[in-house]
Amino acid sequence: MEISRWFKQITLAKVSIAPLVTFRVFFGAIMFVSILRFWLNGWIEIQFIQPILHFKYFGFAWLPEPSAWGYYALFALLAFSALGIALGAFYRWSAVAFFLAFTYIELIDVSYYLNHYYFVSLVALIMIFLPAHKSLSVDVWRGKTIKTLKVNALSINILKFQLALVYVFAGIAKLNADWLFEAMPLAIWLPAQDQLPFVGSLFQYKATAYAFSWAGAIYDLTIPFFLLFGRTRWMAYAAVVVFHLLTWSLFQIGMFPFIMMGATLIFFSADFHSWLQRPFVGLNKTSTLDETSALNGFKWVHLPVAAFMLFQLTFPFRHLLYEGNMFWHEQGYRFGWRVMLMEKAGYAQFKIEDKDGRTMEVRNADFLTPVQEKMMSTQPDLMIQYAHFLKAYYQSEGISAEGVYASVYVTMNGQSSRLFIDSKVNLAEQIDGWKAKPWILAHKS
Amino acid sequence: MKLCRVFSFFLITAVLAMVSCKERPVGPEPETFDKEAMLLQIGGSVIQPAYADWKAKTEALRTAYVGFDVEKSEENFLNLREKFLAAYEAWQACSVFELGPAADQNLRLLMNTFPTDTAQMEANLASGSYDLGAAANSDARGFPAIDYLLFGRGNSAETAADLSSAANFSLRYLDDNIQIMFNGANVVSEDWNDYLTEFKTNTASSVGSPISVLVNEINFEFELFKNARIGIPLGKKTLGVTQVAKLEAYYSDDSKTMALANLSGIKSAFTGGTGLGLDDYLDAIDAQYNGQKLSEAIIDGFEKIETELANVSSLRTAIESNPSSLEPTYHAIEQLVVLLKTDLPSQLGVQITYQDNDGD
Repeated sequence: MEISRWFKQITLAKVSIAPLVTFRVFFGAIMFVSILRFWLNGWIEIQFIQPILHFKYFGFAWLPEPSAWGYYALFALLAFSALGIALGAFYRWSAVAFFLAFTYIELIDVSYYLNHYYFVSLVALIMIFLPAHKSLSVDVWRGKTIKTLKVNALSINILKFQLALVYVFAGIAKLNADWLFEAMPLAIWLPAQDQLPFVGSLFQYKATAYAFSWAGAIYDLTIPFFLLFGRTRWMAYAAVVVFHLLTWSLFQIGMFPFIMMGATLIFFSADFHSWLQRPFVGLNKTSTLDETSALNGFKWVHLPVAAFMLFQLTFPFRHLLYEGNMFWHEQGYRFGWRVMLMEKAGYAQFKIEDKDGRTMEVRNADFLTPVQEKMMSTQPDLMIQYAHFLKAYYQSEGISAEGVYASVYVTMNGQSSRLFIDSKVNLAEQIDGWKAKPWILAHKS
Repeated sequence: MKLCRVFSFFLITAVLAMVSCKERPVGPEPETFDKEAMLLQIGGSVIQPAYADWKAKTEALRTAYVGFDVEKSEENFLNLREKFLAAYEAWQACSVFELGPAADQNLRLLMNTFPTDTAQMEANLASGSYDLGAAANSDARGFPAIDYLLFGRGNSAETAADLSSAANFSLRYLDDNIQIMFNGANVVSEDWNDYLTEFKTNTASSVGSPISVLVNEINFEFELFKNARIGIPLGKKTLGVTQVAKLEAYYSDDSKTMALANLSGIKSAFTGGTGLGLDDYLDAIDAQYNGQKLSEAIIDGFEKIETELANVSSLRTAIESNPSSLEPTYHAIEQLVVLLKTDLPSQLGVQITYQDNDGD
């Protein structure tokens, strides 16, 4: 019965709410900053309002696109709900609103897919169900909820699980020949940064790329475990900070390093978090304490939680169902925590053929933003969507666009560019789906 | 304590691996490529001379204009045409460098938006009231406008007579356009004297850095070469129906000279002329293309286009009478565009946008 005891320990044991409160405040705050940053960079305009078309996520083509004002309203809602989460104000509503609005915006255009957006969506979903507002919150202060000192261990462990999953899967993804034995793509990316102070002069050496590749893989695979154990925690956290600051200075990776540096604090002990929160303890002076509310009605959650975890543990492996090099064909690539793993560039010349067999070329810049074009040029499912768009567009222009063909060349990890798809396949006749796309040419190396 | 030691081991191994490589590099010692020297070469020995040449030819054009204004002889008119074509050709070497001072001026849009809108021009010429800086006139000014003015409105005698007449605004329109060029050439040449330091010292590959912008502008200009200079007139965007009047320098029928000069400008942006260039940078990082040096494959690509294009007597005649004779040229262009758009930026690790990115 050891396992069952252990299982009870990590799910039902009563533990301090303190780590959860820190996480809530941090998550809300960094989301607020991220939303503001996105807004102030003008990206709402550039990424959502200006583009002529948006590339849909598979299965979500039905989602309506908001108007320009709708986008601004959604981002305003995101900012306010992020603040609500941080302050623990109207917490459930804030968490639900944040999750829905964030996920909706994320689902507008797949060419902007980032693993850290997916991570944020998942954490926001989890947060809805956590009693994170039951201490040091506006809701307690307003008397809308009763202060609680103890929560189920699962409330905290589910977040640790989610973080560990990101790292371990990112580590597994690095266990490929290019990464380990060619030091690719770091062997390309690092020398390009050799003007950086201190470390820059090391980047021209191939050995540096190897060291970074191996260190990165080992870091990702092991860091959650070193964070879990008290004795290694501080050193592990120091490694977290160094690692993420390094990736932040080297790559255009946005808020992700800071999100991870803050989120991993959840691994620290309740004492640490209580110490962290000591200055604010006076904010929620209350005589009524609820020792049980967070624990009530807990039984039924086992099933959905198990399903959620199982999905997360298996979905990133779906690429195994496709033949060939996943990094090349990208089938089953997304939602797999594959971060900064390859250097890829493509060039896609689309051609329209009318019913008389006459052809004309498409200028992608007429329809796509630079980012959309970059993503489409290496991702087959986006090529299908683009082909459908082009067919409809040219037909509306009075051209009988019977066929849409593309001559696509892709270079990956410094290998010579080569033909990526069968240029004789009419892409307008292809339907995206789970099935393998036989017209993607095999990657021979 | 055991875990602690395991962790320390990993950390120390990683750090040692990073530090020790300074003494013992894997494989041969890398050639330290001097990016600043490359940028100095491109900026100081390719870009600045290109602008200086264009500026000198623009001054010569202005002198020719003044000469014609003083004495409206046929000789002076022909001299005016000649000096215009020389200035237009000199511009082609500058066109690719839409960065720094040129980008500040939107120089490409200001000087060379073609095909020119002849209806708009005729309206301007008829009314005599126009603002050449206005967006509506972006395709009624600059080189393409003068091309139309000097070559597109009748034979040389008729055009000279038209320009000599006090009853219309043709001469003033010419003067105003030459003035725009003169100002542009002077401002950009002047600004480059200050900009060179900034250009050569920023050796990063991130967005907005000179290396990144240069690679992107090489691509942008080459795309213009492929589409605007050859593809669109050839009917590549119109189901094979040729659009000969969309040629650059259509009225003077000097499109081939312009195209070759333009191509040569893009090539120099890549090679850095006779000194260090992106080709040497690619060699320093050992960039390969199917068993060959990538730099050589790209230079071969440029030369192939030059050779094919040299076989054509006039782009205008070819498109009017035998468009398929341009297919070998176009095919060579299609081959090079792949290398410039994929292998080149990818090997150099340059970024194309400011947006967040977590992979490729």
